[in-house]
Amino acid sequence: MSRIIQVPTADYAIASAPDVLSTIGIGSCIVICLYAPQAKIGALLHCMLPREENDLSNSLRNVDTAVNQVVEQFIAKNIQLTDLIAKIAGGAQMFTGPEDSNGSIGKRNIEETKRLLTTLKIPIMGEEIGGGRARSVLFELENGKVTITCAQVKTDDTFDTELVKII
Amino acid sequence: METLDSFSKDLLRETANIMAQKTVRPIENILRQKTIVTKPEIIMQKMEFVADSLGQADEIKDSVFIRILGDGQGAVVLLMKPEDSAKLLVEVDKDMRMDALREIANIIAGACLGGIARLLSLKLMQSVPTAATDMSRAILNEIVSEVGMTNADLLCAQVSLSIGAGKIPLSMVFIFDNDTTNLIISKSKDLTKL
Repeated sequence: MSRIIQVPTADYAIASAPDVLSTIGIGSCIVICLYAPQAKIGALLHCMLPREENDLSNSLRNVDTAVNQVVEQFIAKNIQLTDLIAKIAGGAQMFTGPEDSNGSIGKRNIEETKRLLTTLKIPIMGEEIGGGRARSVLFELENGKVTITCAQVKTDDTFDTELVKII
Repeated sequence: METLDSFSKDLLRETANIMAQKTVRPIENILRQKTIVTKPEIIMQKMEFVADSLGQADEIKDSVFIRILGDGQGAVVLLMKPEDSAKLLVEVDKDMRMDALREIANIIAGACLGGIARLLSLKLMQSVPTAATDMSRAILNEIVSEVGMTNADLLCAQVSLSIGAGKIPLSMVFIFDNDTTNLIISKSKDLTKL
């Protein structure tokens, strides 16, 4: 019997098959799905900011500290970095306006995630990033499949869920 | 709010009440509809909890975001369900609806920030409004990420309004970073000494 585990903002969950990890309402935030295909163990991280900014109140808010924390959890389960693959989603810019000199939060989240995963030599096997729409993610630990949906306006002005991509 | 003394909490609640009253007149002037404040509420939250404390994560909202600049840092956010903005702006062409909401938010933000700035002798300015329609959590997380890069605790003053005979709900949220919250408290305390 599989469970659907909802991951809140600035948090993560780690579980094994047949569980499903899910998070909703990802705008500029970035979601990182780390998966060990052999062990069928995966983690979903929902991060808000790229790097630690002199704020130690919640390290899971930031991509750099959150990923490092989750990697330690995998190692504690005897899963090595070379066993992991990654899929990422998010990093949108929903409000268009003058960006600051470093770019939008979403763009910086994407850059930091790619930099960190490259440093850790964890290959990114799929991505659905950037753009201007909020996303929701469903991560199936049985097969590593990540389903990404968005809200879609219907002709009668009500909203429905649109399947955007499976990675 | 736990970290603030009760006097500071009262001062912030009073600030929220002033902002609530300041939102009413511009809305009545623009829309020519009786408007009442249903809830002025103050919450102090870490940035990752702000969105979920203000609404359901996947609820679709029309939103307008205005950045607060000057002596204080923060954001003003207008939030409405799309079906409610359609009812409120029934005479406005569908393609122009978000422009109308941007204008409404701009006027309300100007009235509120102007009122607070005059009262507390602060210089508060506002950015050009930008709009988006999407999931509530995504909207608010992007805004608090922009506002709260260096501070963990954010002050949120949520003013809920009911407009016209149809009692159409509209929510204005004022988010201030930690330094600005302390500045508001300090300036408010100065006022009480006069």
